[in-house]
Amino acid sequence: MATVGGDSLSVSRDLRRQLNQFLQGSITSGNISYETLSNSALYLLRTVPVARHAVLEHYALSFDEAINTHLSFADRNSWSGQDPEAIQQSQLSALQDVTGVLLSFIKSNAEAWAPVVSSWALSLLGLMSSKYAAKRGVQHVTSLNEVLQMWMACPPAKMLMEITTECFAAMVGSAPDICVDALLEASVRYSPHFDWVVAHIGSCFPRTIITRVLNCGLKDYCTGSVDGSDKDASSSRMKVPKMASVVGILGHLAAKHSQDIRKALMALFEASLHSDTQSSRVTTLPFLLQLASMSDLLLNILTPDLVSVLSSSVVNQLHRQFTHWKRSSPSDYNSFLNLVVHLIAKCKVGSCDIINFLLRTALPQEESAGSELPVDEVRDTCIEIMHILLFELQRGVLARKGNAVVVDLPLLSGLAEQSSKLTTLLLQSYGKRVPWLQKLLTYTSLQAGENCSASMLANIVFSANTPQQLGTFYKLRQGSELGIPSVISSTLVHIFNKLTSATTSQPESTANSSNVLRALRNLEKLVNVEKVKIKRKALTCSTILEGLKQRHSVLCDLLLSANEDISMCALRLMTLVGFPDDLSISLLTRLCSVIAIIFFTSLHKNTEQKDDASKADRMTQLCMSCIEQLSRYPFTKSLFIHYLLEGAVQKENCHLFGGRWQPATSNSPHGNGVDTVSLLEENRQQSLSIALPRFHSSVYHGGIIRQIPKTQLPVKPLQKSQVVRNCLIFTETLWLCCRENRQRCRQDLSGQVNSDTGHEPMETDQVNRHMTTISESSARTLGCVIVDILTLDTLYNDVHWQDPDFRKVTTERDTLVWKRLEDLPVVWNVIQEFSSSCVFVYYLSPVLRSLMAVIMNHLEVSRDTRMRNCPKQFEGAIKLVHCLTKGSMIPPPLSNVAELFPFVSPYEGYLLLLTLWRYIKENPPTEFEKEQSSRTCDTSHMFVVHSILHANINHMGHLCPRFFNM
Amino acid sequence: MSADILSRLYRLNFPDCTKEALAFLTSFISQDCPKIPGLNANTEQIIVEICQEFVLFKSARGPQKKLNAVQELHLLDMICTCFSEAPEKSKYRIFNLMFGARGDGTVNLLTKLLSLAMSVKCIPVLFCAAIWMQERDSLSPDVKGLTQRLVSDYCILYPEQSTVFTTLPSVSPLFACNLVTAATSLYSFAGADSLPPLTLVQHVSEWVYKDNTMCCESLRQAAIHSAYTTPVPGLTGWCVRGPLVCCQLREKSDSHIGQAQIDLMLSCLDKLHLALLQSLTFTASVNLSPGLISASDLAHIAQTLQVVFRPNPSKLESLACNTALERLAQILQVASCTRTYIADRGKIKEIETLAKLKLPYNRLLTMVLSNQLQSGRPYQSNTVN
Repeated sequence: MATVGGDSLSVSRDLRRQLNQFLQGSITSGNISYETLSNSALYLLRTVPVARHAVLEHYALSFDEAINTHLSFADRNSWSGQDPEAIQQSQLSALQDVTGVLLSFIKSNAEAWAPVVSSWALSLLGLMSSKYAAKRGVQHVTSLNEVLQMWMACPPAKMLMEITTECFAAMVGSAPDICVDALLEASVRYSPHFDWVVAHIGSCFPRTIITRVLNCGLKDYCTGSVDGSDKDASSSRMKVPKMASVVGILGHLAAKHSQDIRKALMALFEASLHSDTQSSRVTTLPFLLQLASMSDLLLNILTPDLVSVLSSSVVNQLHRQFTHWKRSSPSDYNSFLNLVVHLIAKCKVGSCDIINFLLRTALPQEESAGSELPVDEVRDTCIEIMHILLFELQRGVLARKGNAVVVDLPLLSGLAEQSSKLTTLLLQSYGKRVPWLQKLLTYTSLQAGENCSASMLANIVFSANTPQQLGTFYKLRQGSELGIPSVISSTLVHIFNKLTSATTSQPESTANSSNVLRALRNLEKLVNVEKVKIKRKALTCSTILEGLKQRHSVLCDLLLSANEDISMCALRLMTLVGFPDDLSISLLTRLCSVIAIIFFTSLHKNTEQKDDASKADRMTQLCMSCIEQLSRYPFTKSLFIHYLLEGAVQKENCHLFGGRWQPATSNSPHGNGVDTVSLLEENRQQSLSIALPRFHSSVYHGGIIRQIPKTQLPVKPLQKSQVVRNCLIFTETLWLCCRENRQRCRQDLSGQVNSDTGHEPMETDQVNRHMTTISESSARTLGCVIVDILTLDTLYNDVHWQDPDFRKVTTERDTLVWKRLEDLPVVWNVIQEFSSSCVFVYYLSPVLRSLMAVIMNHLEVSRDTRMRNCPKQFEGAIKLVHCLTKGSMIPPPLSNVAELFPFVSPYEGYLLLLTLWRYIKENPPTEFEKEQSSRTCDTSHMFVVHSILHANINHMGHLCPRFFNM
Repeated sequence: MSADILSRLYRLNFPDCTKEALAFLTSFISQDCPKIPGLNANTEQIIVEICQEFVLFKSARGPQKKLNAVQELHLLDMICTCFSEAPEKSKYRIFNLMFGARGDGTVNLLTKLLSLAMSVKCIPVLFCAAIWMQERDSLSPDVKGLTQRLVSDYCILYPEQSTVFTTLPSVSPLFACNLVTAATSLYSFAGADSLPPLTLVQHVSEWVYKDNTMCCESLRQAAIHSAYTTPVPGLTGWCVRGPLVCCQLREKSDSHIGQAQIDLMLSCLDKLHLALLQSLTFTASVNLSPGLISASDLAHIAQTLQVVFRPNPSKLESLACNTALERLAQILQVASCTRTYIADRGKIKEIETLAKLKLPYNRLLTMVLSNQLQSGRPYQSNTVN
């Protein structure tokens, strides 16, 4: 025994000496130098297991001193007393030694040492952090990053951190719970000064720390909640800081490792679904929600995934898991529900998904058919949640309205961002879902403001298919207008922006056009309702109507859409809304031209598609009513006259009215398919040279005629009834433009009746026409336009009639007019129709003169026995005389010559016409109706008439009273 | 002398008050507890109070005084010094005064004290503690906890700090003996979770191998203290179960124990087995009363072996099992021959049925068992000699 002790005794003596030294030094500080003390401490740490706590405690003090020195040194450059650097150096080298020893311990035997050292280092770090947090230099740094920087710049703190990190690295593999527990505890105790430590360690081992921190939190929560009922309040108070520190740590890590956190959270949830133990099943979800309630960041990380995981089967499983708990603790259950509602109201990210989930679970529609349906209890719970949620939201929104304090409702702002999705959902849902969603949307719009609510309303208008769906528009509008009175006008702005973009971006896509169509139809419905309301005096002024009146330009663009339904709808809307008085000239011009185009298009449709005739009819009527409304502006009247007439004689349209398209007779060299060096040109050159005699043989056989067969139009001739109908419609329309304005009120009313009851437009207009007169300006325009259309140039377009022989000079031109009129029978109709206006006839007189000249030319040389045998000329003459008579250009007895025509020979006819000509030459036409109608016929003009009567008395006797004053 | 000792002590601060208190206690107990004049009745009470207040710092009145780690180390140092200096006869009485009471949570301080005593080789403390352990029964939770802390201090935290443990039997054989007993019950070696630390096995095998008397140290005290436990059954258990458990660990892929460690462990166990057999033989030569091991211990070992043993073993496993059974047979044979063994025919019968039904066949064990059963009274059948 003695032999054994020899060496060991000396060792133990040495040990005793060191021990005494250490105790003396650390208890009665001052006697022993810092280095010696440190050395013996180190010796004890290496050799005496039981002394380790004491040694670590001693070193804790050393670290404290070193940090203090460093910080004061950092604070003030001049340090009283000894050389600060030397002190710091000696301190640091001692600390470095112990750090080295500890690190070697950890390296050699991590399992045993790491927990001891890490808990020591953590608590020391916490102590230091909170102790020096108030110091100068630490005080001013605010952000966590700065704190971290500051501490890591302090060597002793850095050493401690190194030790801690090393411990964690050693423990993470084998016993992560222990180290995270220690971390959490320290975090709780020294929060918030400890945060930088957690952040640093967390960022070193993100995955482990996140998972473990969550597990620790859950374990803590479990133990708290399992026996929480019989514990006093202090335990729950203890629970909160631990949760808080969990939340704090996760919050720090969330910035960089949100994906890891998300995975960890979801893993926890999944684990709870498949867990066997009752406690973890029941507590995991509340725990997650509790976490989320404490940090918005976590809430945002958690919700999207959680909601996406909650399928109905999962929900059912949750229900099974929670049934027992629900029954056993109803108060907990209630507060849990409230928590859920609170959280939902706080969710901004994925809010739409949440709502969708709630709806899907509360009231499954057939979209979920096939998969497992949520059980009744689950549904009831969801319904309850929805009710509470709506109530809470309402309170929040209304409270905000009341006293201007902005209550933040992230759910609503989240929903506002996805309002289009939500509106779609609303439109797709039925039953109980609808009022819920309506309320939700109303709150959202109230919360998010005008722009959002306007866009939602616009969405509804764009996607509502049924009246029920459109009905939500009213509900929503009603709700929104409580808070945002001007919502409708901005809604219109939205709608029309969308319409414009839809038509400009991809006008061809079917989705786009169907959208546009739907929107227009819905707008129409809305306008109708508004109008009815106005009619019933329920509404004095409709914002929708007023707003739409400002947006004719967009509608005008839509009129030209390739989709006829769209143009139809736009037209209908336009007619419904009416036109304000202050439309700009450019817009009016555009409108006029577009409507004229549509008018002709509708006629085309009418003739082409048998099955859609009624639709085309409606369109025509709409056009007419539009024209009627628009023609109250003087400006538009003449525009319409121009557009309509020019349209009617166009190549595309003239066949509608029984006309033929004669390129040779057109005054514009279209010439497609024809040689550019055309005979027409040559003929024209010919005709310009006065030297050539102007017989019709020279004109016709000069080559113009030969061109006709080359440009045969493939257009199938229309049925006569259709032509007649078209002509009638056309004339009606022209009438609408030409009416005197003072009749407007009456006509408006009748127009209204028209479009409402679907009366035949002709009849009513017929009635109207008798009561109306043609306005002078319209008559003037009409006359000028017809003259423009029918004549080549204005050279001989003098209103006054020259000597009858002068017609030899204008033969070509006269023939052209005749020819054109023959090709365009509709113009004849127009002339006949409007000849009652002397202004019209006055301006038309060049044409009439040309016609008369052509007829006279023919009759003069005709060898037929009867004038009747040249039917064209005969009819023309009769029509002509009628026109002249109606226009008061020839007074009564003379005006009756038409009655003689059936019985006279061509030459006699010629003489009669000559008489008329002479009369007109002597009494030139005037614009003034009074002057015109006051004229009487001089007997000198009746001479020829009388002599013809005498010569043919045998079969004209019965006509004598028409010419003689008897 | 010390009527006002208490009030004086109360006025002093930490190191001084404890120093005074210890000095007072030592001298007082050494003087065979004279009556304190004027306070004749409750001398005992005052002593206890002084001890509680100023040594153990478990104040009955006023707030608990909490020592920090350095102060605690100081306290332990003072106690050690006190024991070294106290007269031989009163050492255990002082010890008993401090730590004798049951269940008052002084074990913590005692553990630390022992740890320090082992470091500084304070023999009186270790001896007193050994007696204390024996009185408490080495298998009681207090002792187990203490053992665990010590093992963790010296075998886990400071594995290279071997001098303390290597020299422990020479410093305090009884303490070493009782420590081993407690350790064998703490780490039963019945699976991965009850594996003794390698360092511990190394030390223990070394101890038993070097000093064959160590195992019977507690048996020696049986004359004085009625209760005793020996490390032999526990160590036998290690030797028997060890090979099989190690073999199973080796085959388990996720085990965190390295192959090299297992090899070391096995070689230690081989050595330990030999040392045990030698110890048994040695005990016979010094004519101690039998009782190092009993038939029921062996039956228990056989039973635990059967628990460890898995049906359909691999080849290596059945080899290891064979080794285990042979070791059991050898121990039984040697123990019965050296009469260091408390026989029980019923238990032997139990082992036989177990070996027959649940364990693989082992020729040696079968022979030894049948021999035991035939001879009836094991220590009279000296046919082997």
